[in-house]
Amino acid sequence: MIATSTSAISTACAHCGEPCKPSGDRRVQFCCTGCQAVYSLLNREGMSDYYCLNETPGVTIKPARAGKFDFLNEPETAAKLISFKDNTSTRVTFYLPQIHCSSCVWLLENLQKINTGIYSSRVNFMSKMVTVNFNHHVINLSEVASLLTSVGYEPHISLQNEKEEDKNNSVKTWWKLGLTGFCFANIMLISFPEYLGLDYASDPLLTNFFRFINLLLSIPVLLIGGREFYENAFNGFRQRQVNIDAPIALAISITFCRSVWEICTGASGGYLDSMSGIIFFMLIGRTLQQRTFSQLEFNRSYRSYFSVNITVLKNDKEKTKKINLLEKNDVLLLRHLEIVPVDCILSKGEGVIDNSFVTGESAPVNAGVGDIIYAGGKIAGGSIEAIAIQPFEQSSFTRLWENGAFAKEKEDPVSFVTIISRYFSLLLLLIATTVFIYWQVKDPANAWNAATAVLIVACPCTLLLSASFSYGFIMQLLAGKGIFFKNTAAIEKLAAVNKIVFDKTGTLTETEARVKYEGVPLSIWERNIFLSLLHQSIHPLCRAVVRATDFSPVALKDCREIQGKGMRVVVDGKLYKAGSAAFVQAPSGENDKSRIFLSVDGVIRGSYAVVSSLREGMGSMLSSISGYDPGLLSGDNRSSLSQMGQVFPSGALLLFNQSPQQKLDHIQHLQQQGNNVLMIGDGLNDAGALKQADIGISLVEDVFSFTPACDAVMNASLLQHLSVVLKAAKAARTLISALFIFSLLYNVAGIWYSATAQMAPMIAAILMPASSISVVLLSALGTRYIGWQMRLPKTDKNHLLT
Amino acid sequence: MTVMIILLSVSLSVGVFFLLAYRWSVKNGQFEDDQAPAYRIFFDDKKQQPK
Repeated sequence: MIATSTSAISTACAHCGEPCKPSGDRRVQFCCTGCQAVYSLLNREGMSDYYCLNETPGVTIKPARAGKFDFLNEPETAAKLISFKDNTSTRVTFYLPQIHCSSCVWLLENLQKINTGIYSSRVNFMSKMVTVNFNHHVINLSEVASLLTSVGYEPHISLQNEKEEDKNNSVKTWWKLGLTGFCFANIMLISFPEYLGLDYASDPLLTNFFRFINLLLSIPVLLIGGREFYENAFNGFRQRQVNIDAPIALAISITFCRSVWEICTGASGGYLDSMSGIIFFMLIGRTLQQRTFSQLEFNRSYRSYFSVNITVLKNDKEKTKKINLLEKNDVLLLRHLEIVPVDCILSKGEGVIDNSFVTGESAPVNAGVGDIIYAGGKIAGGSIEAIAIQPFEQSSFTRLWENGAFAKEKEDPVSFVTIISRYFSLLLLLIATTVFIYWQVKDPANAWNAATAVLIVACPCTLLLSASFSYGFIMQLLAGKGIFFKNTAAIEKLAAVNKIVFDKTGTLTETEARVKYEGVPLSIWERNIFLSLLHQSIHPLCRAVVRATDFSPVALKDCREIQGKGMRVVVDGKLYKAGSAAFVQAPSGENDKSRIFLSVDGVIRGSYAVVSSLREGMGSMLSSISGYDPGLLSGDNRSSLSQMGQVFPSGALLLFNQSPQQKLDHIQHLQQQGNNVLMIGDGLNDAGALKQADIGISLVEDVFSFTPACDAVMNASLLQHLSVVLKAAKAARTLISALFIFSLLYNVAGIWYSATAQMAPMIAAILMPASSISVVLLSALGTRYIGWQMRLPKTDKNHLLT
Repeated sequence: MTVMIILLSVSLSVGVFFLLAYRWSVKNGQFEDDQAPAYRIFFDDKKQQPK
């Protein structure tokens, strides 16, 4: 919320803790009516414990449209959420991103106190899911969803549920880690006696027993723990590629074979401890790296932007229809805040359409009967009826997605880990062969030993460890600052960026307009009258002014609105007028289109100007990244050219009136010139550009709001620190390169020992954990250092990191 | 020193027993949520019995 007037003293809302203006002499204060409603509901139901467990545990309430969850009553839709159903009871699972503290758990597990139709409910805190058992004769699914919404937990419903698979994967990962860890620890322990002087000659029985137990324990490590390395290596070979898993798989199998051979011949205990150790450490690294933010959706298509069902009027009866079944000439009923699903002609009612998300145009437009309204616009004001002129799949809006950029998943760029591992593998085989030939000539008895030892010791496990641990840590670190990456490849891509392109509306400027009053100061009484008058209008400018200003409403009689011109009212014999310059007979000046002029009895008082304001710190941010040649791609008109010209470095390319397709083409053009492009945008009009760019970052106020498909989601407040984020990504790359060199040193040392045939199990046993642990430690310290250098506060507004 | 063989066998079987217990707990979903149970302990148990 942006308001020009600053509040006197702010206190915290009793429900959510947001700062709010104290009003009246109430003991508890609220920031909005939504929070107040939840507070009184919970107190009425005797559930005030909610507020005792934590201070201001709630989440700021956003108003939800009545009937928003009606689509859940369709059996087909409901089936995707319902896990169990019998004659009386139903079990359903909702995803509630707002869950963040013990109060949440308490409230959500006491839902039966609020509605007796609910039997029980259970929260899974980590995945932020609640499972509700309810009697579907008493309360239906949409009512359960509304109930959750009414207590401040609006379910996020995406019908493409893959949670089941996630769960299986996490079970597998935990089990694999546990099993490998168990075997590794035992093998280590059992190997100790030999290091400490147990001799085969002195006690063959005991030594053999230890060795065979080790062999037995290493089999699950080899088969279960190491499985993904063989699989990845094999998949790489099938695509005619050598990935980093190939030399690792080779090293693991050779280590195992040689150990078996040494144990069977009684030569030594083999290298089973090293082998299980590296597998265990690498599994931990992989798990850390792959721990992404499954709660966030990065691959949303335009479909998830629309509601699933649309109300269609047929013979004056309201019916719901699936959005993809909409046909030409269907009559749609569109309510306040609904999204227009297809291009259609307005047939009844007056609409105010907010196209900002689709076209980037900041000012909403009025539409009358007969006007064409385009898919993707958001209805403000009252409900309207409209006739579809195209089926859903053919609307102007969905066509963008037919572009090639959406057809294929962006190929992961060849990471430098892959490149290094390719050369590394070749070099390794070369060294092994040379060593083999050398010893064959000099002392054939040593040849096999030395060659296999090279392959064992030179296993690039430390390379893999340094990459996976560092990326894992960096991803967590940046998430703490408010930028969430889809995968680790995205961080690498961010480090390689040399050109940045911004969207304007919603990205550089605030989504909410800023309101300025210019003219003769108004008395409080006059001000209240004017604002109450504007409050009656659904004109986008009036709404913007009213939203951004505080006032005490005055009851007005006989307000009259002259469509498209302005409002008038008579109070105490005085005529108050508010509207366009022509309407109040004001002299025309600059930017009249975004002004509301006010007059009392024909005397001009002043005007409210609605300006889309820049986010804080944009000027300094843009000058700090001037090395990246920032550019602007806006769907809005040129009216803000001068404003943008001031903040962008001189000579920057500022493009206006860009359609989504043009944006995509522009990015493609930049890429053809050899640039690595970073696109930062927020709306659907940027969807094509975000997808086409080497890396697309979606800017959001709230990470759970809709974002177009992208590689990373960034909190809007972090945008002013963009240069810091870019530096951190670069630092991460440097860190990983440094660790690579460091771990290569270990390899060189190891190869030297083994090539000269001095490799004793003892040295291998020391080298392995030393190298792994030092790499992990260094990557943790390095990441800490990067985080400290960023000097940005940690934010976790959305409780993603709890 | 042959007693070591017996000792090691016993200790390993105890270890395997706990490994199996771990497997059961993973499959049972105990690693899915390690926060909510901790909170639940502190809630006063004055729930109404569901009808």
